[in-house]
Amino acid sequence: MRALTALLFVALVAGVVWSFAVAPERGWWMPTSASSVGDDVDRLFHGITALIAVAFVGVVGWLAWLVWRGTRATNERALTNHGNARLEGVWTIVTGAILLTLAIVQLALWNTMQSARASDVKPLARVVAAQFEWRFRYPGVDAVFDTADDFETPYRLVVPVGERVTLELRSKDVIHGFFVPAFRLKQDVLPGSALRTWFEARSIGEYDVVCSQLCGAGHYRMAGKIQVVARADFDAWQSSMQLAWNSNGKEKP
Amino acid sequence: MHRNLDRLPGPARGVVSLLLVTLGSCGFDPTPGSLQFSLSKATIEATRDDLAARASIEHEITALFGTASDPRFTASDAWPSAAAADHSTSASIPDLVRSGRNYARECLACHGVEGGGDGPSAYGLNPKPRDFRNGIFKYTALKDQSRPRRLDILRTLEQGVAGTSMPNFQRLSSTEREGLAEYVRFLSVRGEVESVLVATWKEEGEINADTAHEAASIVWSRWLKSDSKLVVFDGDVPLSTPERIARGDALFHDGLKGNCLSCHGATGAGDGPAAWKIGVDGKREPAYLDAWGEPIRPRDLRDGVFRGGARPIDLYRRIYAGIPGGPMPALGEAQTKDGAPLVTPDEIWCLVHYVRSLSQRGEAP
Repeated sequence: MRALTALLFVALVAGVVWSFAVAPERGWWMPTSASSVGDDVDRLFHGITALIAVAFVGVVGWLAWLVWRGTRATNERALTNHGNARLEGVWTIVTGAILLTLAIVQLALWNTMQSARASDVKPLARVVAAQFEWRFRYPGVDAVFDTADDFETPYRLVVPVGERVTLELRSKDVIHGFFVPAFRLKQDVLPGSALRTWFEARSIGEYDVVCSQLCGAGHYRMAGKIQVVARADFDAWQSSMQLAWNSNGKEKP
Repeated sequence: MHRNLDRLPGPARGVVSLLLVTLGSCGFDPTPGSLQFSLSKATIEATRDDLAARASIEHEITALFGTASDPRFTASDAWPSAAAADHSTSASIPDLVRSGRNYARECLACHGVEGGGDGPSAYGLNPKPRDFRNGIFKYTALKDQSRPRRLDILRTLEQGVAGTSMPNFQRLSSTEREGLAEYVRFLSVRGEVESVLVATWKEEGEINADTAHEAASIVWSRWLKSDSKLVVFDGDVPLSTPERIARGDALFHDGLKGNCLSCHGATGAGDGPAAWKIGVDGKREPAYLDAWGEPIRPRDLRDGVFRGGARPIDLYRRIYAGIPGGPMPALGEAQTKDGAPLVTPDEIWCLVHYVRSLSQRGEAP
């Protein structure tokens, strides 16, 4: 029985390590990074995961050994311990140092990712979140929102590849989360605020937009797409959208 | 169960309706056969004292339209060909049975099994989900209060209805959406036939297969007229210029021309005197009810949220053809006393640009 209990902990460690090891090839991992910051985010993520893995394997392995040893049927007296100041000091300083290092290491990347907040660049589009859909508003040729040449599309945000794209995020009702897993981009969208975020897509393709804040009953179906196209295609798309926006009703309704 | 909610005490009602709203739309996928078409409340009310008539109405409806697990439209051979006529990719639209299952997964939670706008999540939504059963659809590209074409329903599925709980459904494939539009049309025709049957029964005292078929062909003929009712504009859409906006401003406030201010108010805030009255409790309440019996408020045009679409042509169609089911009039069809058109198409464009300008503050981003 005691062997079984201890084995349970060993199996837990082995199972977790195995699932992480096979995750990428089985498609359990994150989608391939497709933005300029994606690889840096992944490096940071992998580094932190490795640190946690060492701690996890150490702690649970040690626990398994304690279970094995502690359940021996002997008359050995239990050890009474009223604390060990040196041990506590060591683990406080070591973990503190690790956390501080992480905080410093990620600063540059964090500042890069948050740099749209202060920038005075005009956003390419406005993202309007609502229960339960994404709508995208483009400012048109004058690059100013809320003018006569704006146009809107639900669901699909089209952006040029290889360029820094700034978005303005707004919500009509509750807090939503603008999450593009392939871009490693996640920014909450707050009602009453016009927050900004940015990304630079590295490759042409279609990427999922999901909502990362539980926003109500339809949260799970609050889906959208980002379509990354070449600059020329983007310009052509924009002019065709503008033409369609000023339809006289004779083609599709 | 949700129909009995009103009997519960306040707090219990709150908890139960919260549960219903939370759980009601959890994307359940009912097994075929577990859903059943019921008669509408109005039919049940009308046949309260004649259960035999109720049974024969239900029998004829089922004969014409099948059951929820086996929906079909038997009354018209024209259905499949008319369905194929108004779009180009008819090849692989799911049939009514498959679309019925998609409807149960995607739409039923709000719109209900029969399209009565009474699904489990409908409680507490404002505006309420549309009840399709009277055949009235507010946002189409058509005039004369026509029944929608499939393309009109499809556009609502593609674009959603801004400012309401109706989202867009672009995450479904276009053929799935076409199938859903078809199913919505099916439910709508079914609901209309049901009310025609009740009216026929009231008039003639009985219902049989012949009267049912006649009712179905009367209803279906309304839907076949729609293709000739499209509102379009000859030529390019006039641009928004300060002159046109000023002209639109004048028309908006001209009681003999646009007369928009009577409902939408002088500032477009939706507070015009004609749209509101003082209720029995001394509070201001909407003066009009819509075709579904709900109080209807004029749109606050300063928000820039346009349910039927925000393109200029969408607003043009709203002003030209009115909005079925509510008091918004068809200005494009209105005439003066001597038979001349009340406003010209160009004047409608001026109104469109003026209305759009109310929400175009030109904020520097």
